[in-house]
Amino acid sequence: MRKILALALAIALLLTALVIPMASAEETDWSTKNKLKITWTTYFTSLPTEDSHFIKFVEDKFNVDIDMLPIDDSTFNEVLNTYIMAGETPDVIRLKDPGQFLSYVDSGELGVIDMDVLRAQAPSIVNAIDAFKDGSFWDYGVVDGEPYGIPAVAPGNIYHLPVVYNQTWLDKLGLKVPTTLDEFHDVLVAFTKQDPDGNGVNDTYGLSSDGLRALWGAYGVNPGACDGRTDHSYFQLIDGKPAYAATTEQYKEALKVAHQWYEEGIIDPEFITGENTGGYWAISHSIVNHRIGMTVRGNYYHWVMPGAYQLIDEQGNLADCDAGAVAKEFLAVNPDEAVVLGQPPVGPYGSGVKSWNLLAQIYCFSKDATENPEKWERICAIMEYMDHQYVTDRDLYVDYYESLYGEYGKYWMWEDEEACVARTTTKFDEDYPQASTDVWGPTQWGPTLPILLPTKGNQWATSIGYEEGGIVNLMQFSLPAVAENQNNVTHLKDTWMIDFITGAKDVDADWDAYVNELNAAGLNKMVKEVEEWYTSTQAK
Amino acid sequence: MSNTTKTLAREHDHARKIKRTIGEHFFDKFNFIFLGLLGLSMLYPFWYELALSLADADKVALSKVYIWPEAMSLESYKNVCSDINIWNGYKWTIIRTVVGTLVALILGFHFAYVLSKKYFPNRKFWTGILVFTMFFSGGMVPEYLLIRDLGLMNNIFALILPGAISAYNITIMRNFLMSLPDSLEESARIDGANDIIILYKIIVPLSMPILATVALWTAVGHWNAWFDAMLYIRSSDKQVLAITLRRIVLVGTNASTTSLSGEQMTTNMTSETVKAATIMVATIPILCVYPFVQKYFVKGVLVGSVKG
Amino acid sequence: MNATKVNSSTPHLKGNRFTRLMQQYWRCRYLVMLLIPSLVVLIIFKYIPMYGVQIAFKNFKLKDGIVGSAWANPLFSVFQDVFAQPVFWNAFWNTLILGVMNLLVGFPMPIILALLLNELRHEKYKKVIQTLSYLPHFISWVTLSGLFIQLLSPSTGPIAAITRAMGGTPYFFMGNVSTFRWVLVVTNIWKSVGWGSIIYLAALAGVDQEMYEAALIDGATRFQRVWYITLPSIFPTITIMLILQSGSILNDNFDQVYNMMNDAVYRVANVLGVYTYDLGLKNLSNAGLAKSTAVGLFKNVIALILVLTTNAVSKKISDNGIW
Repeated sequence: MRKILALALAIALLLTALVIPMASAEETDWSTKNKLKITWTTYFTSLPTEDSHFIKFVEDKFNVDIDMLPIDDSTFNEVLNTYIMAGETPDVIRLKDPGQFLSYVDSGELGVIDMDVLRAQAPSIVNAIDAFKDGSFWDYGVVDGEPYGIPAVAPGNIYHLPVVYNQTWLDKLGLKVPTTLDEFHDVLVAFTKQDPDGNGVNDTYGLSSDGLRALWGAYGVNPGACDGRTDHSYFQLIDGKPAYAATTEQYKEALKVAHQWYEEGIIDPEFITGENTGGYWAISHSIVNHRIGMTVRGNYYHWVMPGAYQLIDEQGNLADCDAGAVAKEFLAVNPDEAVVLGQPPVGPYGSGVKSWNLLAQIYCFSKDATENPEKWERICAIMEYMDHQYVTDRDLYVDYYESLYGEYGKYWMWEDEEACVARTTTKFDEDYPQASTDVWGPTQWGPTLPILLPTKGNQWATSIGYEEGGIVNLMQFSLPAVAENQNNVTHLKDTWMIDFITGAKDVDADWDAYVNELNAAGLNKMVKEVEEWYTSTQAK
Repeated sequence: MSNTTKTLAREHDHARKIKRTIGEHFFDKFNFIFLGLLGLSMLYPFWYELALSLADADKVALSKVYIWPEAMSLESYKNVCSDINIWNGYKWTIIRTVVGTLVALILGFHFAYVLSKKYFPNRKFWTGILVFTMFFSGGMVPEYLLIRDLGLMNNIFALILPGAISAYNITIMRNFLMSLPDSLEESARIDGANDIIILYKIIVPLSMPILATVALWTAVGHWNAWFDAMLYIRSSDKQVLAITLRRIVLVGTNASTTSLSGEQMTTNMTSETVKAATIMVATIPILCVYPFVQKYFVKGVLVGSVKG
Repeated sequence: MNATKVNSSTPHLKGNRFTRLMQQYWRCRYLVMLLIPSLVVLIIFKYIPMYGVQIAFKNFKLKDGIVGSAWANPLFSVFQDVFAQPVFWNAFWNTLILGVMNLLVGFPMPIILALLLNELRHEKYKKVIQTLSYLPHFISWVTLSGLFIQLLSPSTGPIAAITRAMGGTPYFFMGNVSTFRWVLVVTNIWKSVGWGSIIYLAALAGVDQEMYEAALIDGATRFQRVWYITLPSIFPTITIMLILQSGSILNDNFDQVYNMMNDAVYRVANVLGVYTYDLGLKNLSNAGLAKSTAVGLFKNVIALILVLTTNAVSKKISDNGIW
């Protein structure tokens, strides 16, 4: 009994450490210290103005002068490189592509992080990364034994891609969401042959480019969709060794099935131009427009049907949630229909579909930032405070949101009973119309933390089992040779995938030519580098 | 002069109307219809964006908007117009476009004029110096360092001066100037006019079509340029429109090119209607310039001046 | 003062070459005054930054900067690395083929459009069509590619519907290696023809009206007037545009190709723009920066050679040229 009590106490202490991390940092009065100038890079959808509430709030609270660099996300690397080569390394760099991290360290412009200060000023960040997967993600920021970066984890990426079916079609044909590959095949045949949209014309198919992920998953691999963009190199542990997913025997077997399905006519022959014809990336126009009956595209929250769970509305009552972004488009075209999310079908090698990398970015810092103790302390404190979304004690943030939005209840309110998610009211939109395009500034200053917000949406995704069954990339970031060669290799892989599926190339006869061409384009270098990386990190 | 030409041509065409061959008749009909269809096909994508921007996203399926939305809403325009960055951007883009075009025209036209003079010493060398820049440039970093060392950071001239000398435009202007008959100048020289007087009194009025063309090219280039602004303009209240436009339009379309990061996945997507409205708001002003330019593409300018 | 005399290099001007040259410049002093401001801007903003080109010949290290990095040994090793890749050559040939197709088919189109517009009798109609014709120039390829994919879809596209109605089998233009290049060429023409015709419309505005009068009196047909008066009058503009355009044969339209391509046609769609994008040359790696500079330099040298050649040929044939 004492043992259990002690254990409970230990757990309680641990939880307290996680939940009240702000206590120490909150007490410092920064206004008595020197005013510092900090250059910062972050992600925003609209350029913050000089007097943006967000930036002003931080500047006043922490007695700093923030220079937000207006770097566009799509040309981030180019512009950042220019700054670095001109000797103007930003103090805080949100390194968009973790694959670039090693090059940046190599450039000699990044500073080594003082972990003691970070631990003291940003305990919730450190604790959260410590607690996630035994703190193994710290390793991504370490080079030659020195910490240069803080890993940012996208906690939402623990959910795998959605396996979406047109529920109305299933119901009409008297079918259920398939659980095995055979059932899956039967459903696709029915979608193709039995005129599920009832228009009397044989113009429907089972699936298209994205839906094939379910087939690959049934063979235990994720070779990526054949659009050359969505997925890059996927490495997986096969028989205890790292392997490039698209040259495995499992993939070869799955390709034969895919070709057979193509011959049967259940794969949309236009799968090569993809399911999205422009606009928001997560939309599958093919399923929206009744060409196909299932897809694996977007994320779970894009496909949430209205009323899947409930949120607090402005009157403080529980109300049905809105449709997800893609579900909304689907319902606008097909108002009386519905989609349903299933689990990937089980095949000869298990089941699964891709899940996105958990490592989203690496935060690194200029030498000036880390070598000036005052500046480093300040940066750590700001990151800690601004990672507000990831702390569950929301009372700490009432003054933060009030300074941002105004009066609680009038201009903003909590989204549900527990989570630290604020939502502005319609009154707010009326009084501050210019805020709608985000002139408040960036909402994310420091690394995202591996703590999944207990929002209603996330709870719903967990309830339908989407935390399980994702195929995770062994390489959470690109090594140098991978970064240099993977795009060419991916394009060739896709060209061959299309040829194998359509039968332009024969899987058995041309397989060696396929592997050889990929190797010549740089795959062998990539695989070698990954193997070396794997053995060296495993040895640790 | 051109009046008589016109009446003459009209009379003649009238007289020929009876004589017009079947082939010509057919050609006129064909030309009329063909160009009409071509024009319609070119209007369509623009029309499509307009329709999208006016669609009520809550009531209609955007992927079904082809010609006109069934339910309309000005919400997207309200949304775009309430963005302070748009108005700030307008201001700086207009300044940049007007000043930039003027500077480029003044510097470029003078350069072209000098190069068009066959008797100018080392003319080939000076032309070569210009044309060489069409093919070789230092790249982003040296240019950035230059701008910084000149103290032009966060200054509108960082967006104007580096591109002010365009080898392409100058070559075209020079070529136009060379096609003007020498006789124009000779009479003026006999009257004792120097090169500068000749340039402004005689050459400039004759060069309106080419000046209008180059001005249009330069203005549109300035209006749409964004990359230099991203490098050199640091304060948001001096930022140009194209940057804001890009940010709004690109959100959500490019996300799939890389693995999605946490923020991108949780950020509310900018709706397609807002994107379309942004494109409209940013494009329509520059389109309005064209009718003013168009009037310089009228026939008969050259002959009139020679004789006058 | 009469400048035309300078041209015939008056014999009594003796002295060494330098003073003679200076005298020539003195005679053109007003022109020199006009030239100086432009020249200063040109040298400061175009020539001073040119030292950056040396990255292509260096063992580039970001730490050491552009000037401080050691020269590559051998000097052309970066180029050797690039040229050793089969994917690079695939991209090079694809770019060249696409460039030649764009030049051969695309170049005459704005001229034809300008001539057709010129033949329209209805002035208002002409202005409306002119205005419409440059609208696509302002719509991005991201939007247009989505529209074209739908338009050309063999199942749902309107072109397929017409084909089926006429008893044919719809063709998958975007998904076939043999047609994809033509899709690029045709859509590119469609997007740029109106904008490209502006320069020719300006040139047409300069055509001597007296010649038309004379031709009318002589009873020349419409076609004869176009052939013998209009075309020769705008011929200098056509030549200069051709020379300038020949230099951009290797400048593929990355935005267009990248947005329209799919991996079924990768083997023809892999142009230099896609290749450099794919190599991640925009990334910050020492090798990447050196390679991207090298590819750019390679393209520019070829472009310069092409322009010089076209210029020389054009000089021989028509006496029009840049030099």
